Amino acid sequence: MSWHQVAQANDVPEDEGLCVKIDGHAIALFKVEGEIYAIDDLCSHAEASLATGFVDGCIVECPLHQACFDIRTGKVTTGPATEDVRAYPVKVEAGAVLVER
Amino acid sequence: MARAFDILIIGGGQAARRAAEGARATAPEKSIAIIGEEAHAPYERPPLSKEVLLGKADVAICWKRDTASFAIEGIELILSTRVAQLDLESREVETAAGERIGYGKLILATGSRARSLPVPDDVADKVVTLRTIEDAGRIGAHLRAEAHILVIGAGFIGLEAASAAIARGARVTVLEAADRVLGRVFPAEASARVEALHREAGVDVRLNTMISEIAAENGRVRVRAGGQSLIADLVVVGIGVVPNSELAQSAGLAVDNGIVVSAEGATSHPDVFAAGEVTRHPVRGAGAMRIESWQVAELQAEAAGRGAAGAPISYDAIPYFWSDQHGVNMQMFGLIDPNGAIVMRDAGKSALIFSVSADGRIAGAIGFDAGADMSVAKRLIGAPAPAELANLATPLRKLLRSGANA
Repeated sequence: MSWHQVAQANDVPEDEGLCVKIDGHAIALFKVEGEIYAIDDLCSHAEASLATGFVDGCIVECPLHQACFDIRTGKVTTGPATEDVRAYPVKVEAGAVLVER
Repeated sequence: MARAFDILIIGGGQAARRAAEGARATAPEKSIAIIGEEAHAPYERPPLSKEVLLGKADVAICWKRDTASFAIEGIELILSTRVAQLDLESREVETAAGERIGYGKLILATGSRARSLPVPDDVADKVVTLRTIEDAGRIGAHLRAEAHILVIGAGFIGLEAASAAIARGARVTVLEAADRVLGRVFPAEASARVEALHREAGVDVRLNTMISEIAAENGRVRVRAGGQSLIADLVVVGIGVVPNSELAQSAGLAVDNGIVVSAEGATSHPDVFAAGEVTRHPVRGAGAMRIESWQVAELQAEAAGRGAAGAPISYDAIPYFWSDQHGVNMQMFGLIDPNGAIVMRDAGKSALIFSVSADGRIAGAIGFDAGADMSVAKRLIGAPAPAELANLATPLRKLLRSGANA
């Protein structure tokens, strides 16, 4: 586990995700009320990028089959997905977003 | 002493599992059992005609819960068991083997069965429907290069089977009696898009084609249709489903193209609830409907389970359905009138088709690879169709922000 600088905080939009890679692994960054969160980008149900999903508050809706995940924890809130996605620790230092993986 | 359960669920599919989970969530102490005809613990069917038939996933993905986890939750599974009769008076069901099992509350989650075609015995093993794990296995075993797969019926199940079959190298012909694919559910513009997808993938789609005969021929199947003879290795029949409402009907419950239930899943008898696609339940803007979908099996069934446990909630979701064909994701929200007015938002590979009601409101939406716009479309349902709906220069999200759904 180590911290990786993945983006500038200003580059993370408010109402959609930003997909970044750590060692080739796709991670979706989201900004909810100014706070940045990181979860696995790949939906646990089908091959979809959660960063391209619709964001409503702290919930992201998968673009393929409407499974919903809590952006803060990665937990499934509505199926068809049943497995949570992984959530990663995030910190912002000097405007840069760091994710621990 | 006969067995008895506080909550007894008849039917062993997704709706049965969800009803049990709904009941368990509010009633930790109550005894719960599921009686299912299939030999398997409850599983979800959507992957069978998609990932499983494509060979992209093992059938294991259909189980959201294994047998052990039912036991941990205190949900008893009584499998490979058919219920022959309900006795509402004595609150007992009788299995085909003659066992009587008592209940406090009963939940009927009997689902549907695939409509089949009458065929001679010597081709019966090569003319199949797609509903169960065994069906998917049987069809999958035939999907190889050079095989000719004939699909009867251009509904979702037939088209998904066609999509999987051609992806696995088979030659595929789809025969449809109507003048377009998905004609029962999609407006003509959406049907045309789906038909084009299939033709581009190499599927031979034949519309306005009635079947006149199915017979054996040298170990294969000969189908006479529209004055022609077609020889197939396997015929997949996808001509709809029939709700398994006979038990309810013979017990005297209200049945009208499905078991009639309230938003809480209550039937016409106070001790009996019904869950999943066997139900005819209230749908906003449409009175009541019987809907064959994952969503109904998931959420309406949960409501029925909670209702049976004495903690009712209303099921009032906007109808939702998805299909994946030839790598294209299709999603539908709301009520789609196959013969009504539409607004098309066409961005080429990605498109949205809105169904607009007579009073100018967005009643439903179909998306083709529409991504997050599908989530926006859902939120626009019920709103007056904005003038810019078809204008690709206006992001769909902007229509939401402008308060179109207020």
